[in-house]
Amino acid sequence: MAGHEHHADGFHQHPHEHAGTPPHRHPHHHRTDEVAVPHQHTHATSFESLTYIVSPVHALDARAKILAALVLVLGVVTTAPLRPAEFALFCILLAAVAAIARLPLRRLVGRSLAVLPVAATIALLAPLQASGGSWNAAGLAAAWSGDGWLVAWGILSKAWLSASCMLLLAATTRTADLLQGLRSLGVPAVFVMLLAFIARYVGVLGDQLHSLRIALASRAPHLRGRALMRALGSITGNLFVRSYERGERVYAAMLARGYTGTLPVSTTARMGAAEVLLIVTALLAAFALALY
Amino acid sequence: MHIPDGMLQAPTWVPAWLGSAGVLAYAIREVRRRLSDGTIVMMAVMAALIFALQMLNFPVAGGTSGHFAGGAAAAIVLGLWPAMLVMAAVVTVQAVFFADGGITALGANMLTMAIIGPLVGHGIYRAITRLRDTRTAKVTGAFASAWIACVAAALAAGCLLWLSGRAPLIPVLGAMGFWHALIGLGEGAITAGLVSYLLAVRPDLLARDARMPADARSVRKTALGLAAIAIVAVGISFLASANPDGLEFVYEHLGAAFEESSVLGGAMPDYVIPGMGNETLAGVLAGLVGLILTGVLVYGLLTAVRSRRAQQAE
Repeated sequence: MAGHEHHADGFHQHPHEHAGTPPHRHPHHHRTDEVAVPHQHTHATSFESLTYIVSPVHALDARAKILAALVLVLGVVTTAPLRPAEFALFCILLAAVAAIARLPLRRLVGRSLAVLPVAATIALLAPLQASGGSWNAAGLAAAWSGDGWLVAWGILSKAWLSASCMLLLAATTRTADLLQGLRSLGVPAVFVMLLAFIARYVGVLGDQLHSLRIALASRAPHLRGRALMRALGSITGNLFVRSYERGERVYAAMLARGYTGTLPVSTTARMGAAEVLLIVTALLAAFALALY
Repeated sequence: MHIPDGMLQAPTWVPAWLGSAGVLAYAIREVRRRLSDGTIVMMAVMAALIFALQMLNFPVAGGTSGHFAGGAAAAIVLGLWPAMLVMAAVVTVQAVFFADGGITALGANMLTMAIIGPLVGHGIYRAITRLRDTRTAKVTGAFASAWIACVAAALAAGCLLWLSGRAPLIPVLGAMGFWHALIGLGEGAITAGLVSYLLAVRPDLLARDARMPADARSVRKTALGLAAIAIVAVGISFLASANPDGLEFVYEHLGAAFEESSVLGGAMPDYVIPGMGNETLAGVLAGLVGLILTGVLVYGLLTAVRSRRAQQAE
């Protein structure tokens, strides 16, 4: 980025000359190209804005929500492939929570469907495998009596429902509360600090990466193959050095604010009737799945 | 490579969770013991960087694209234990905030991407740079370690899928290996570029790792531990398939029961008067869940109406 100053309004200067005049500068705006147009700021969570909605679910203690999500995911994952009734029960449960939380259902569902392509690649192997025989650990003893398609349905539905649970958690809990909840549930402090820094700085560093790529694309739009890879390597190195130096500044700033080795904790946690109700509901739902 | 929930079975994901948790707990201990607060903060910013760099897409043969993973790069620049923690944090954020990779599968995803990747990458890079401590050796070592780490992590993920009976061994290893051998070229090239850039600009950053040497003994202990867990997991998987446990027993029965359950029965079909059977109990529980949800919804609706009325009254 040397010599390329990025101003907020998009205007910048570099020296150049017109015919018959000496080299000079004047501010101008670059034609926007396709690299620059879809400039999306990277946020810690895709649902950062949703976490600021005011609703009963948002107001719940983060620990209760984390535990409920864990219980539901465990219930979904450990049960046999979900039967239609179970699947419907679970969908209604999630939709009800989303409604109580006043979340935009369409956006939530759209995001949750992103898990399906990944799951489908493996899920579609199951029918093949059921018909093809037993080359694997579980199949060696021919324990697979089930229909392969049922297995595929099990994988897809479980992946989707679990992902939906986690997205509901992410959409109804502010990042700081979620991290605090994880900390008080026993996740080691160093690890929570790593998570916190990822959440806090990925936007900044992602934007830096983005402007580096724009700089690269505007100087060498036709890079391919090894040359492109070498350039990407240099971008990576550049970001490493800058992040390292940012880390030094961040630490100095933290020391200046009284950092003593642990991140400060706000204690607004509560475990009231609503929190207990949420966990109990999750437990009931999970047991219903397990027993049915 | 992010395995979602529901794909791995309990005999696979439980040992994977325990194994990763153990290794990471050890890594946390090492990091706290050896690194100053300042270095830990630096490491945390680097974690954010690795997360951001995973958005770095590059074209792979065939019109698709792969993205940078960074396990080997982190191990080369930060050292083995910090790299494991950094990668584990990245994978965790992806799972918890983005539902990218499952929660029960988080242990498995950590195992492949946060433990095996950095472990292999670190080992290869150290081995090569120990042979020859030249610039060429470091850049080549970076390429080789990143490529091998990428392929190793993919093969490990393939093995986990195989252990769960989700895919036949040879084909899944072939597919994962082939694909990630291609993606690994990009990963390797970027890692090599990174190392050569750092050698030119800030060679001191590469030397930092020397301050936190991963002594061979603890690495060997970790590797042995992982191998033991793998053997146990394989054993459990085979046992589980030989003697269908409760879960699979239920599952086998379901094959037949699946058609019987009424599709039109709504959320809670098969209501029987309480008295016996799991199904009845499940129905009661489902009814309770429905009751609670309805109650909360109605309550929420009523409060909303009341507050609107109050607003109108003002």
